[in-house]
Amino acid sequence: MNKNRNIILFSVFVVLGILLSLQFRTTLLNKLKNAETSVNSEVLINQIEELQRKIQQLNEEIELETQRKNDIEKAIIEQQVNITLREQFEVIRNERDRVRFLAGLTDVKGPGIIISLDDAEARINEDPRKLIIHDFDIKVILNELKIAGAQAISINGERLLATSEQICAGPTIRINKRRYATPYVINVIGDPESLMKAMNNSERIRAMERDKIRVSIKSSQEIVVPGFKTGEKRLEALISNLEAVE
Amino acid sequence: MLRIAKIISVTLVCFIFGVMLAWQYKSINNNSERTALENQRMERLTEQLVQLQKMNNDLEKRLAELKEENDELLSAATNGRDFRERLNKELMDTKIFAGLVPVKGPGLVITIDDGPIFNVQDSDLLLIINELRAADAQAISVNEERVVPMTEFRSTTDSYVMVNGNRLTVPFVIKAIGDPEKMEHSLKMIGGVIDQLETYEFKISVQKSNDIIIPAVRDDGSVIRIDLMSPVTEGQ
Repeated sequence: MNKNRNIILFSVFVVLGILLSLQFRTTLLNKLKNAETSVNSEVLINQIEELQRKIQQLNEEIELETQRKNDIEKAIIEQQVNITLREQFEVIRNERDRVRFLAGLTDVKGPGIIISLDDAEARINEDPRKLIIHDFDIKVILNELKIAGAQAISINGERLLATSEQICAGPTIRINKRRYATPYVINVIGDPESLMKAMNNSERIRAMERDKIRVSIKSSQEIVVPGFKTGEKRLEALISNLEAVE
Repeated sequence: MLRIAKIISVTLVCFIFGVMLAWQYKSINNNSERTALENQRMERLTEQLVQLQKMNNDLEKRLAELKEENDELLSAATNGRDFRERLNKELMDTKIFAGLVPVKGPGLVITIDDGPIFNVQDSDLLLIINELRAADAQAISVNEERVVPMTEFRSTTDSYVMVNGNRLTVPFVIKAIGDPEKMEHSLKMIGGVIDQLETYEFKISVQKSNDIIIPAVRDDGSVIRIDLMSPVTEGQ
């Protein structure tokens, strides 16, 4: 009887010992691994931030170079001694600039409204899908603004074009192939009164407010909507499949 | 006395044993969850890094190109005919981009008609068009109305949809110029736009074509309205 009990006790202690060492080992190992990954992700984050700075700088340089082009054009026109030729240049150049304005390639200003949207604060016991802004929401709101006579729209500084998609990917939205994170700031030029009215009557805005999405709308006499930046692309790349039909 | 002590000690050992077993189990579980999360984060960061690197390279290339073009412009300054040609090409490209000239190219023709119960609504058209945009469509029209930046889609009654201020009725014919394969794949993805719309029993057809013609937008100020906008002058 006593012998039996001793055997049981013995095996219990053996298992206990194994467990103790196993536990110790896994804890140690995990600490090591965690430290390693956090170092790795820090390196990545640093690289990402540096690239973002470089990209911003490159974009600024591209802007400067575009301005330089403008200056060169002006100088060429002014230096042209043949008056007929000079007038032709001016006519074409002015027409080009007018069309650039129509196409949304230049910065514009005018009266309108600014809409800010931000995800709801996390709440317990709530479907997380209800707390965030979806591409569907943005799509509907943009359409409502267009119905109310919007003349130019940007989201987080990205000008809306005929070909601008609104696709959600996780916590960001993709517009003109570029990703933007919340809060979303929509600048709209148009009649502030009718834009405001449209937003006040918007079912979508009301539904978002019910879900505690943070919505703020204000009107202003001077809203700036930036022009579309072709950035890394030439304008030709955006119309590569299009052939003019006369 | 000794017996009781023995029972107590065995109970104690078994108790500790049980707690440790549970702890071990939990910590292994916890750790695997944490590593999975950590891995996911690393993956996202790596993906972002790769995208940024590509963007950086593309921008560098574009900047070099622009500089070269500007230098060329400077050196060719004396040749008036070249300069005029250059301006004319830019004007044409911008007009095409703005939708001010009719264009031709490869793409898709999508026809959508009412189902037995449901009518095609503005949101259904928007769904298709947004998908086409995401698949890099370069020009889009609905029933010969060119889609421009401020084109609206509004169902008024069940029988028509307002587009560019015009009443359009079924069947809606959406034309898109771009990469036909890419656009078709996006639309026909499992659980994609076509699948979603077919649950309403709409009659939908998607056809590839190599020369789709999309008309220009009316340039009389009724579709592209600019009366409230003014340019932001440089240097301000």
